[in-house]
Amino acid sequence: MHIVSKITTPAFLFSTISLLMSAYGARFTKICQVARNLSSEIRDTDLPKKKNFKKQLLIFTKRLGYIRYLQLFAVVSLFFSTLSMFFLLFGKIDFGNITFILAVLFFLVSLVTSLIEIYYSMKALDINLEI
Amino acid sequence: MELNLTTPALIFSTISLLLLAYTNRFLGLADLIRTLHDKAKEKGEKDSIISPQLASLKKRVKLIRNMQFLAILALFFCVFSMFLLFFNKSTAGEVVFAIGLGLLMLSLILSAIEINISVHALNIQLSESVDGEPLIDDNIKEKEVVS
Repeated sequence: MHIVSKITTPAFLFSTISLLMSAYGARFTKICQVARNLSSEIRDTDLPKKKNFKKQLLIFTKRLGYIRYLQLFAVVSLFFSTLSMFFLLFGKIDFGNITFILAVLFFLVSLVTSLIEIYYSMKALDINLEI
Repeated sequence: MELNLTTPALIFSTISLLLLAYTNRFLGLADLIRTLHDKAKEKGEKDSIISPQLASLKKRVKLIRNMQFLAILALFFCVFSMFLLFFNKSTAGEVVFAIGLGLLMLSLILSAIEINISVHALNIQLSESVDGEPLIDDNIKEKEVVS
């Protein structure tokens, strides 16, 4: 097993995760806006359109849920890699390694969630084109 | 653990990127609060959907402000640590760097809390349109099918 003893190693996760957070933050606000617009439009539309909008809204809420978990996992991963640096700074190599592995694991989970979210990202558009 | 002069600099890019992400969130929320407030004013009364949303959004804005504050403070301590290391005060540099890391962790915890409540306001908005009206319309449609 490779043992991390340099304090600079956990820092490699930092820039990636923060960029990912920024990208997903933008995605989150955009989807929120679209969902809000749809929910105000839904009141004054006719019935078939309303059904369609409702389907879209459900997909949007699903995606928002995924993005929320994704961001949570990313932040937790960032937290653990900072904690790992903290331990390595004080020479606690074992704790540093454990927290670093945890950080990498959380990052992996976050990326898998991101894959699921990307898979759903086309669906609302498809439903919109059905009208 | 020996600390290089460049080690605190590893945190720089992270914190600046994090601040960028925080600022975007902040701006989006501020916009949303303004529009919601205008809407509430137009209706002339305290709307039962808008005021709980505003409360939740205000809470988030406050959290983001604290997150930004802590992140900037962490950045300050990292730069200060570089300054101390430059003058070969390695123990003081390490302690200051550790404080910086601690502040960054606090900021991240607040961020996790903020993300956790981030869908709350939208849920309130959507509970009206998804659960309220369309359900009634579904009944109407069923009646149409029956007749």
